[in-house]
Amino acid sequence: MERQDLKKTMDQVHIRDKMQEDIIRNLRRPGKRKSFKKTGVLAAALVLAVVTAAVPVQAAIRYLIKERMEGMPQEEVEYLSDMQAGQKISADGFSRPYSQKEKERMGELYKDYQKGIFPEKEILRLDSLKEVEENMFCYVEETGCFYFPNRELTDEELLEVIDFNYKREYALTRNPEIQPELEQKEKEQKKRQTLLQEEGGISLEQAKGSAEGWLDVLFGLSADGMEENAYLDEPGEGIRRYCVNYSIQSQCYYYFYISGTDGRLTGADCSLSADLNKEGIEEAKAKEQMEFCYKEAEEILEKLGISDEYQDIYCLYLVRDGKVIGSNLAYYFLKEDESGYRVVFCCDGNYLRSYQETTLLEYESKSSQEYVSERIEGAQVRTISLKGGN
Amino acid sequence: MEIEERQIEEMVRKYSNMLYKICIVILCNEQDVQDAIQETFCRLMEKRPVFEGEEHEKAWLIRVATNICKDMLRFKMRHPKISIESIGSIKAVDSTETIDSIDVIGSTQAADPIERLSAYLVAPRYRETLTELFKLPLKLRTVIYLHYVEEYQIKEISDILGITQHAVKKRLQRGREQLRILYKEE
Repeated sequence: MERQDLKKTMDQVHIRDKMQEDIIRNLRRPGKRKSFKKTGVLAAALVLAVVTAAVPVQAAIRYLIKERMEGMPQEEVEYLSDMQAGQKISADGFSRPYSQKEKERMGELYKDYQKGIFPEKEILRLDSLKEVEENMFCYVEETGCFYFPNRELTDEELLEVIDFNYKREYALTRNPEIQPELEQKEKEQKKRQTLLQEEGGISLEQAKGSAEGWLDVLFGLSADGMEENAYLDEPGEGIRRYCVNYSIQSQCYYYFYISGTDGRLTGADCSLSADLNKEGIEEAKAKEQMEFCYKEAEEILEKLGISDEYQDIYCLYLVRDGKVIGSNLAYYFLKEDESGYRVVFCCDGNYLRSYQETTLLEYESKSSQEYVSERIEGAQVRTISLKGGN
Repeated sequence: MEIEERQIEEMVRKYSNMLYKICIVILCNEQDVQDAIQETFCRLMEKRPVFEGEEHEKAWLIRVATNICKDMLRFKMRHPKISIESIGSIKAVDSTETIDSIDVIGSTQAADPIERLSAYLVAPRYRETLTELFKLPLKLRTVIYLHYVEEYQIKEISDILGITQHAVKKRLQRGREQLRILYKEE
């Protein structure tokens, strides 16, 4: 091959005009982007499909969304704010749950929304339940309930829901009664963060950067397309930690707790809507997964840079009606000084559920039947020693 | 020169062809290429970097696009989606990410773009060249492309890909060996 062959070959390759126009259109104005992805079978356990990216620090809200929100007429903002103030509900209602396909598509559309793919129109809003007809797609202001037709929602409809949710949240933050309180809380946060840094602690930006890295290392995900929230938390006993969480609306939530003093990860949690109301697996099946999940838990600790000696290692889980609650296996790695780590795996799918620094005291408490019976009716606690222990 | 929004369209027209070529070389999947290009320009609009000149601008876009492509491949490795027809050929993927694993993903999808891109190439010689290029592992393919097609020098490639100049030289050498490119001493 001559060295110029490559250039000559690639010089003949061109982007199609249509692709270029599609890109320009999507960047310039709101519109629904036609999906070019083929449908396929999910081979991995996780339902989420997140486009990964290597953006170092993620803004909580992309500027395109900010622009859209700030472009709302003031009357609309006030109307939405008053509407929510007048509703006697604390959470949205739905005429039916989202189907699994709808949830998956919503996750993708949520990311599209972050990139400025907006719906062509707004969701139909009705004053009262009386106006709702069969198979209508709408939101009833009186009841704070979404009404979905008995068919799969279209991409446009899902985008309208996402858009409506953003607009409502935005309107709340602009409420003149809430705004001063929000501003005050923001000031206090900044003050505490500044104090922490003056004492040699880390900044919010550092904590966010760290959390974004852990999202990748522990869960294999990118923050791109997810909403980020971060704040300094002081839960007491002199603890100062940053809580950084990433979420895709109604789909998944990932929480990270970063020590304010030395920046280490003290805890991580994930919560997937796909797991809600899901029955736990049979105890026998969970036991088959135990060894595998144990190895995975050890790998997680390695990824965290932890290579301590452990005096005792236990696997703890809760059983009710022969099924493991949450399909969760909690591995406690306990050291001689009675501190340790807890790694929880969901053995139905074998993925990390949470990580946390822990203590022998916590283990002894949570492994007691009395403790469990007080909290979860009918649950039996099981503990299996994997090293040392009784 | 700071980026104004109105310039974005001009930049898409100016650079999307270049980005298309590099993204197709990395991703081997036209569906993902559009996403990658679009995401690159989204980042441009978000970050609004100040460029020292056209070369700086171009290098920035290539760097961002290659990072996006690599992350897309990394994601595919962790969350494989396969067509029903290819279920029999699933490989178990190690949970530890390795460049070799990404290479596997990169090259198994190569059949599609070669067929489509070959429509542009009249001479069989060029089709052959394309096939040879896509056979290369991803790491080598990217460096070979940046050097021989975009005509970047070793230092520039090192900056774009975030690897050492030594690594660039090694990959160029191995890529040339595999492609059996005739070249003169530089």
